Amino acid sequence: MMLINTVILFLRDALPVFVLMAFLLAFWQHCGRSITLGCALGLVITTLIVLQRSTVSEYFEGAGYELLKCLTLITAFSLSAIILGATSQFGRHCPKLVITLLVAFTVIPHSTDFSVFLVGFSSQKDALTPILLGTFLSGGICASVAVLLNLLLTSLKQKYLSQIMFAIFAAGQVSNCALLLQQIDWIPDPGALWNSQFISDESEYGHLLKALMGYEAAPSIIYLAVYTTALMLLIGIAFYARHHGLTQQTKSE
Amino acid sequence: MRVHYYLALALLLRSPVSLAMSEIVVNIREHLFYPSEITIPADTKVKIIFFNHDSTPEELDSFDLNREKVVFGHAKATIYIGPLAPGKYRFFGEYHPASAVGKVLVVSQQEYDDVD
Repeated sequence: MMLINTVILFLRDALPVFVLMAFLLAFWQHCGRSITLGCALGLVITTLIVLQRSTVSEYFEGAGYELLKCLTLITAFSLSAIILGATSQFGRHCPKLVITLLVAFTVIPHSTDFSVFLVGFSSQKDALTPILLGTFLSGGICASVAVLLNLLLTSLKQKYLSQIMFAIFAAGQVSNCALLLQQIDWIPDPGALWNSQFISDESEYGHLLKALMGYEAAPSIIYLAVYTTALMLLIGIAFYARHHGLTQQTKSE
Repeated sequence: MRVHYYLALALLLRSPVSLAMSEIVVNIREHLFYPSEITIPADTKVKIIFFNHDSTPEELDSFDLNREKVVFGHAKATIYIGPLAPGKYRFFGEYHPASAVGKVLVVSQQEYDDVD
């Protein structure tokens, strides 16, 4: 049971990070070092948060954890906007610092829950082996998905398609803020607009689509509003940066 | 005119308890929820406080309610749900999905009053 739990939890939490890596490596093939640094930075900050977990969760009348997650998701979204701007400029400059920070701020919200599980259960008798095995197995699945996505992205001839896919991914990530803020009653919960029976959130496809594009089987109007606004904003930034880059390129010629 | 006066007075004297949001306490013991079934009225916002009496953490998860929250060992956590349409909404403990299962039953206000 512990093995299956570990696989499910790791897949849910780590898949978005692996998807992000696939995008970044498709945009800049030589940004591996920045990604590694970002992972390391994110894990160090996560360790600090998990060590102070009881204090953090007590802030804002028990809403500290959700607010911290929102803060990291919004920061990651802002950095994603910079990334999109950079990919649209026709130069091949790799924004190393932005990539490192983006990876770190994506790792933090996704690794805290798994770290709590790891800390809470790894000391239990007979739990360490299935946890390690589960982490290894699900790590392999995440890596496979990331490689496939990276191959798809690098094979795309139209660069703007990969930018749109990245914008959808980033909009899906930041939209989680709506769910978190509804959970702590900072924003109202108007209820689901519809409930898609076709792909449920708990199915394998549901999990995959959630990581790739922020899929929700029963989204509220607020979730859709956040998602659409974020997506439009990112596509607008990419379009502006692309147009600006083309203009500058023409002038320099 | 007098009716309006009495209505206004009744509203002013309405106790804070009746104005306050409904609160429900759920305990977690041995990776089980007590109570495992919660009944709440439809179209009402409810605060649920989870007390984890175990030494290990538990992560509350509900695909039906769109809620996800870690409750640390020997700690409490609060989530807000609703307003919801009548129906059955499942929740479970992500770390012990076989044992830690529960559901929120949302019934019409009339049914809820009848049960009370």
